[in-house]
Amino acid sequence: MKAAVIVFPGSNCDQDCARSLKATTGLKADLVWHKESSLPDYDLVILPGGFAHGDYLRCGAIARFSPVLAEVRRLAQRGSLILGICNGFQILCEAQLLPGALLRNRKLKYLCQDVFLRVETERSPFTSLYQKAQILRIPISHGEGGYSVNPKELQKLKDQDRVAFRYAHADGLVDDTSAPNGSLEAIAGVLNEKRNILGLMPHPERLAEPELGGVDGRPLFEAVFAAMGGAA
Amino acid sequence: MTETPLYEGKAKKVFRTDRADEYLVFFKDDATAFNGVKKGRIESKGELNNAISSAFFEILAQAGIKTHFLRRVDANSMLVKKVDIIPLEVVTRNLAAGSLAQRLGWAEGKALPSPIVEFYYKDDALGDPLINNSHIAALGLVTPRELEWLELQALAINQILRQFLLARDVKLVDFKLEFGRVGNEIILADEISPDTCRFWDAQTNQKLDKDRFRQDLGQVSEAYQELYQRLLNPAAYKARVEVRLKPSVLDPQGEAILRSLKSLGHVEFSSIRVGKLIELTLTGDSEAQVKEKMAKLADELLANPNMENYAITVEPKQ
Repeated sequence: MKAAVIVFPGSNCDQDCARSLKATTGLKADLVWHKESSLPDYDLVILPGGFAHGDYLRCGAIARFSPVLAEVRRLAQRGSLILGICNGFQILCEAQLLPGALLRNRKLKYLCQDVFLRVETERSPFTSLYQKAQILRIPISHGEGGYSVNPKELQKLKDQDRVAFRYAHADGLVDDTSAPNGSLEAIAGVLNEKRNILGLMPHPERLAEPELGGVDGRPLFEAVFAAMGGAA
Repeated sequence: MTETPLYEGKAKKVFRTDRADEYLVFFKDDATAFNGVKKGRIESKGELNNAISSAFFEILAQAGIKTHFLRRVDANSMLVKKVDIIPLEVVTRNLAAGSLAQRLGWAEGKALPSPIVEFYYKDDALGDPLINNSHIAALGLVTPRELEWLELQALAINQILRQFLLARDVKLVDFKLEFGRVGNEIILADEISPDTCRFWDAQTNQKLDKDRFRQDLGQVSEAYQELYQRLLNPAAYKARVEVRLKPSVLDPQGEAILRSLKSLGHVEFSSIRVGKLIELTLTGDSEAQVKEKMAKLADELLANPNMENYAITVEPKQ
């Protein structure tokens, strides 16, 4: 059972991801530099948050040309689990491993705050330990998190139950104002068709231990571990 | 090839070949100016003019202009189609210089609002006088329709050469062409070289042509050499890629600016969209090729097709 966290120049959540994975599952991830062009068959690859390559052109636009992305693509094909958090989600969209794009926050401000998420599906290796419609408290930290996707793809996402999380109010209500960044239909995270790739803007790794002030992110790592064949 | 030339001019000799429809043109190092009044030699000029003319004829052929050029044979000679030269010098000018500047009292380098085409009667004894349509008709050199075609052809060639040179940091000030008949057709003949054109460095206006000899500016051979080098250089282009959010995508930045403008009292604005302008300088073979390259780059990197459109413009770098 092997896990990797990819490190781009400008990644800043790589250590957090590795730490939370270890703390929640005991699994020690390899930190893999983005220039690697050949990876062992990892069962889990995390693309962490940060500002890969500075994100000056568009978030994730340059990172998708990093040599390691070809390997990420290969592992995704193979069925390994790929988890993109924040900048990692942006990179997965730019690499077209997930549909859509992440636009500048609706109110133009960088947002660093806790948000409430409603779990939209428990049918995925990432969300299997949550209940559908469960409300989580997890932080966001981004300037470009407004999810956008064309109407056809949006319909497909909904028809195939591939919206993983939506931004909600504290009481669980999802409406036009529940996404602080202006995401389309308050979408916070989406799955690919094979359901082995998840991208989400919020940071589950930041609330996965009691010492951090909350553990709502913990079941995501435990679910991933279980899906890889580990004992939860 | 026979030993004695069929014809010997001031800068070239023409020889017969084994084939009745082909001639060999030999470029000499001799230089003359002011209709032969000033005489001299420019080192390696023959070789350079042969190379430069060959390069220009090839560029024009690629652009669809019919010329007498067949191939370069050796350092000083080229093989050409046999033509009957029409005794007209067709001069096209983009900037005022030489006899035009003198005749109209214009400063050298004055930009012309659009290119000027002039015709000179090719006759050494008369000193190659400037003539107009009526003179040409009276002399019976070409028909009015042919004359019109010659003018259009000169302008088309100007357009091709000007762009090609500008992309290599050279201004085409003016140039002289000669045409010849083959059967029913008129094709471009003679030479295109620093002997028959004015070339200026686009940045410094330094002369890279026979004016260096005419005006005793020195470094004549070096200037011809420099021009030849520039022709061999890949062209430099400036590309602009405008990236815009698709109309269906919300533009919060534009909306925020619009709100600010309104609060400042600018009520006349009804919508603002903010995009990105990316300017790049690169070398390439042609505008079309550069444009294609830029489109690929825009598709892959500069724009995100999910949310953005782009527009590309390419022009020779100046």
